[in-house]
Amino acid sequence: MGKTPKTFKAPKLFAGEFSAEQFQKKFLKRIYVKEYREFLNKEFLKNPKGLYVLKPGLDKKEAATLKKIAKSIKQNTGFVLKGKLILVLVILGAVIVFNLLFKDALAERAAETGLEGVFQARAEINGLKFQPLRGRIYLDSLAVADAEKPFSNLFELGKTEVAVNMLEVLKGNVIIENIESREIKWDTQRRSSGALPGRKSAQPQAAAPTTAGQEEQAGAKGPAQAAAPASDPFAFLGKAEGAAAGLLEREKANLKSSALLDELNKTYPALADKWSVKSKLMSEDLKELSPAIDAVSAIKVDSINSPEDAKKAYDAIEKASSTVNSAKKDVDRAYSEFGKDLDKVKKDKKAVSDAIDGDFRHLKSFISPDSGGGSFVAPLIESILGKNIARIYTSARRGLSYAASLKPKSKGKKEEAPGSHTRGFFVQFPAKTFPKFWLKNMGVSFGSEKEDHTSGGIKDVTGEPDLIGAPATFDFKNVMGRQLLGVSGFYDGRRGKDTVFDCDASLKNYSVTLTDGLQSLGIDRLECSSDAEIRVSIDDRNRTSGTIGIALRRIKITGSSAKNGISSRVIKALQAADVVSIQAGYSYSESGAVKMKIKTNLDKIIGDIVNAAVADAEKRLKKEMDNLIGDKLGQYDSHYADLLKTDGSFLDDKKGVGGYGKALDDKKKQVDERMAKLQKDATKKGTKELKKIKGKMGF
Amino acid sequence: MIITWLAKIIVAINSNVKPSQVCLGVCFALMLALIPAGVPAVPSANLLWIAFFIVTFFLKVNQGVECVFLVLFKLLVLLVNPFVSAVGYAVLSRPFLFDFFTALSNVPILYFFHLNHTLVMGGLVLGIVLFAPFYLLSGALLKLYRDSLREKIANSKLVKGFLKLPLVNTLSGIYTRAADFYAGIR
Repeated sequence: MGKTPKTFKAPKLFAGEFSAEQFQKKFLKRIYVKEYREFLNKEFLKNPKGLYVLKPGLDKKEAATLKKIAKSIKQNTGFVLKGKLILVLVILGAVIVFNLLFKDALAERAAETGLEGVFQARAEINGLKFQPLRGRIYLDSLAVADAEKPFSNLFELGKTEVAVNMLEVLKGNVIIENIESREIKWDTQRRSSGALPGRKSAQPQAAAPTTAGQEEQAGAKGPAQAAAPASDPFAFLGKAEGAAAGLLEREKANLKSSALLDELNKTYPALADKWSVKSKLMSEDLKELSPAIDAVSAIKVDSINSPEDAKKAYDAIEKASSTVNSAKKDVDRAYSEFGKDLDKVKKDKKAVSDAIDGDFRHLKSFISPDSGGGSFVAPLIESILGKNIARIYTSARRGLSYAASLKPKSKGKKEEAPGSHTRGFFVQFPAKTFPKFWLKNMGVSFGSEKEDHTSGGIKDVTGEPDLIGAPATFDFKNVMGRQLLGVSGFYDGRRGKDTVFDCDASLKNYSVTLTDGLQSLGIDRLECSSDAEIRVSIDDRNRTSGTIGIALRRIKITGSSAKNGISSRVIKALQAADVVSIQAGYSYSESGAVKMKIKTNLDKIIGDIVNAAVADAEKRLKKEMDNLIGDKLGQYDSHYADLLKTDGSFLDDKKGVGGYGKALDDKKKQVDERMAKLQKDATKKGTKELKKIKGKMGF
Repeated sequence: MIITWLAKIIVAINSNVKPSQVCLGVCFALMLALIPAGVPAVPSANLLWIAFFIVTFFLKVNQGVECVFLVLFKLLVLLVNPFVSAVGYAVLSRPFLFDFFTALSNVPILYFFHLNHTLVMGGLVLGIVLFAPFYLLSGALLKLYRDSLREKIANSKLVKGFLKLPLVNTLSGIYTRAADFYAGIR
């Protein structure tokens, strides 16, 4: 029996019977090499049914070729690589399932393990959501135990989120959507031990009555609230109080009126004597004229009936007139000289008056507040507020410089000119452009919202604010019992904006303690509750302006050792006041020059007391000044009166000599009239006699 | 690598590989050559190029053909870059397309496609326009080769002598093993 040749099995693809159509569609259509088609046609035969079947007894080479053809036919079906696609889909599915089921849990566990490794105590994270594609990590709460105090937490975080815009990160921009952590607490109690297994734990400790955070906040309150003014705002009250006593003695050398009176009192007696003597001599000279004047007066005009009588009268009058005129000239000359001295004396009188007024003003300046005629408390408040405003101003300017440093520095990169087709170029469309850095929101809060807490946040921090079209804003809030501190504002670095920085701060029920600077009032400690509204605004030219409104309530003064009257009255008035209000408006110019305007009811509250005290002091001062210069002034007045008396005497002499001259003139006039009458009568009589003679002679 | 690709091409055009796989390899190579993989002055890679490249991994595209033609086309495209950029600019500067491209620029992920770059847009447009002609042309050439030239070349003395060279034999063995491995993971 001969050895039967070994036959090889054909691939499954070719097993069975195929109609002509099937044979064409399944095999021939999927073969693109002519040799393969010819090979298949040769290997398949038609059976009696007219169907194609593989010929029996394939040798090794034929089987291998068929295997190769079958493989290529399989590879040539379809357009998609199903295997790869399925693999990718499976990987994607696995990633999704991992994301949905395990990712957060695994991330939570990994974070807890990491924190436990760092702090060597139990760490608990709840509600962690890790979304790497969205660039977001969120957790509901986190608590890390204190390794030294296992029943206390080292710190706790409430809802916390960090979110970054991943698309922009890929573009090289850092856009932080949100960084927020709420209800941060530390040193809080734990229900279970936070010690890690295998680690030696300390003894559980009793719950601390207050949190460290509260202690820290309370500690922080101290120095801030006890911010005492460096200078004593009421120091001037002491000046008014003690007033005149030593002041006059101290300032004696500087008083002009005293020196002037001394000088005048030295020169005036001689002057007065000189003119007094001259005046007496003049009066006596005038008295010597009396006989001549009396003789003229005695002339009876009606008894003058002849020219001889008239001549006698005229001679007497002429002689008397000559003497009177001479005397008159002497009197006028003397009075003219006296008048010059009198003018000087009158000027001296005004100088004395001015010197006394000036000296009083000088002395008053030591006891009056420097009010400049307006509010005298305002300058004091200005000096206190000025320092705080300067601090605010400096801080604000420093903040602005920090903000300015956020602006990206221009690298002077040359933009490729459009039209360079060799390397191509970007055609710009109005697309939204993000800045290189943008912190959209950042928030943090300490303590629980229901208790004392502190919270704050900033928004839209960027160096390119024009791109986001909004200013950077900030807010801060601190609640401690009834005390509330709120700060909010914005920094606007956009081009063309008038206001660059604006900040409002509000304080409610804040307790203020002043311990320094009130010693002149005898106050050791002043406590009160205060409300304040502070506003700071900086414009694009670096000019700063703002307002400050302060209301002080429930003023309580303790440890008072007020000794003087004014201080105790001021203290009583302050304690009785419902509210002490201070409103201030201020501005800093570009060069840093400051202007301030202050309005306060302190003027009203303590102004009357202080003004009364100052008025009293002035009265005392006046009295003491009168005592000091009274004698000198009396002497001066006496000399002045003497000189005025001499002036009167001179005037009497002038009047007397004038009267003599008038009497002589009157008498001369009477004689002239008498002579004229006599001449008229003689003319009439002569005419009558001539007519009589003419008649007698027959004319 | 290059020898592997060349071997792949030889296998692809001589074996029973579906012509569409070869033609798609040529067309995608053209597309990937025309679209720049990275844009000058932009740090990130061009996501459009990466997207096309990844797509070819899931389609029955002859990788060898694609890689070799990509290198060839890339060399040629360097010469016609100004023309590609001009075409891109012509498209991007059409007023009636302004709103469309503006909207496109504001779609976050599309930023990384750099469609507003003249070379990218020109390459994409030319790639789309030339896809069908190149597909048909390469198909026709392949058919011509397989039906008429393949046997003549295979039986020529030059090829036979070449195939008998020891180096070619060694390389052929290496290729066969590589091809088997490739087929296994595919």
